[in-house]
Amino acid sequence: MELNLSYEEAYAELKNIAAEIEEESVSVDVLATKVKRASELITLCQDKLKATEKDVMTIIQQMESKPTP
Amino acid sequence: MGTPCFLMPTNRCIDFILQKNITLCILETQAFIKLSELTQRIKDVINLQFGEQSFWVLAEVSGHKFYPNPERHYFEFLEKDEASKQPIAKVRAVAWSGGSERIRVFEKETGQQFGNGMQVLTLLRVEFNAAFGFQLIILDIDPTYTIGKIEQQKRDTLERLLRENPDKVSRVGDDYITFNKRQALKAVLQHIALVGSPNSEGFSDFCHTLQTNRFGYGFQLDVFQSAVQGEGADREIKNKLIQIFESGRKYDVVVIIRGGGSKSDLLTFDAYGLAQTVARFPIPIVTGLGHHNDVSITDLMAHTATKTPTKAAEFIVSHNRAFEEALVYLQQGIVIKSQQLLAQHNKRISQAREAVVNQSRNLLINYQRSLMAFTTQLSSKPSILINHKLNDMLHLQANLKSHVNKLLLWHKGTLNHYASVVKIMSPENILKKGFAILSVQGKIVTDVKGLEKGNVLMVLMEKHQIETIIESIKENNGTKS
Repeated sequence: MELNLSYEEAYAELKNIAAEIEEESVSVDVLATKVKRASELITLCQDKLKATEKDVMTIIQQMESKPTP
Repeated sequence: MGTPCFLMPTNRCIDFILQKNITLCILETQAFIKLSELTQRIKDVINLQFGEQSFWVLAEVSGHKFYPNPERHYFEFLEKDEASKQPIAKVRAVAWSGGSERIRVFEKETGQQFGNGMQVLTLLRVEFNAAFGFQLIILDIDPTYTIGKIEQQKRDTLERLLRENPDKVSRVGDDYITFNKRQALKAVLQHIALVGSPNSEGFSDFCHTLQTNRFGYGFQLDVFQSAVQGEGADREIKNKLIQIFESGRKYDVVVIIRGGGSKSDLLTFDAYGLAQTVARFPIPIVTGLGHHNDVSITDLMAHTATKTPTKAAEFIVSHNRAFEEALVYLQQGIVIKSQQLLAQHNKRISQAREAVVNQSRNLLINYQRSLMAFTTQLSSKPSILINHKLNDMLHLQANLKSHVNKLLLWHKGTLNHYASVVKIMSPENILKKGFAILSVQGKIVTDVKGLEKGNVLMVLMEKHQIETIIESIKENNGTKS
């Protein structure tokens, strides 16, 4: 799995796979591969989101805990 | 005891009376009168001449002294020569409680503090007091004259500002646009140059309001001490402004304040020089000159005019507060938006996951279904086909059977028919019916052709054979035997 994929790239690919599966244009030959890929992309996106969320929350907390001058 | 002639040197009438009295004393050899008698006489003359008469007099105030308890104004009335500016008349004047009350009203209505250099229109009575001498008693003072005069002066000053500073002062409607007003206020005002009188109430109001602001903002305040009322105050303030400019320090704002108290002396802030300096000043100027009814020319020229020093400080605090509120607003926006964005992305990802999971499951089910359909088709179709074929065959067989029978029957019928026909047509049958077969020389004769008289004709009957000879041959006329 390419770990250097950006969130946006991963999400775009994930959306593509979901659309392909929905349109039933995925053959059985590659369905497993596609689903596996989708699962990897979901994990990647979620990891990135969680990391970002944690960072953002920390920053927000710092921002809000700063006393107003 | 001074000589009486000291009393009123400027009044020729009194001089004359005094001289006459003195002459009398000398003539009556050392005879004299008491000073009080003399003053009584003077008083009598003055009373006779002026009595309770009063006069509206226009004059300038000088040497003004005020005693608050009870309220008394002591000063001199002056009239100067227009050209030489030298005094041509000068009389002591006093305002007792009645007059002082009128002066208080005057001050309130004009917004001016009664004092030196002021041209006023007063109603007065002439009085001679034995102890204090000759003086004018203020009965009333007309504020409208002074207001009109001040307004005229103000208009003149404003016109002059426009005329002499066309690049720095302009008028749009009732508003004056000055160079100072065009200076943008910084987002945060912290470094302040304060011009005012540190001992005044307004000064401490300003400092207190700034220092105790409830947002805890810090300020760096540089004080440029200056008198803010009275003679020369306008020039002093102007010099302070120049000093601020020349200090080279980067002040965010210059504040000019003038302390509280009810009395006002706006003339200082209507002075041309100060107003011009304010208009042209490169650092925004905020004024808080402590007057409620009137606006001074300095206020008109300044970047922002507030009514009082407290209001000036509040303006600065609220200006900074507006900046902080904008920051807080942005901060809240960022917090909310980033949380929303994260939530949205989380939702999108879980939706995508759901979609992939459900749809790939569906897809698999679909594939399975179609495979099943094929399998069913595959297992059932051949036997159906064979059954069909078998049925066809049976059908065909049945058809064949019935057809064959029919054919056979038909053939049988036809044969029978032929058989009976043959039977009917057989010579034996015909012979039985009485017919005979003729033959000549072994050949069956059906025609007379070739036959002639004398030929031997064999007549064959059922049971017998007759040999005859032909006698004649005649045409059959058609009768049947």
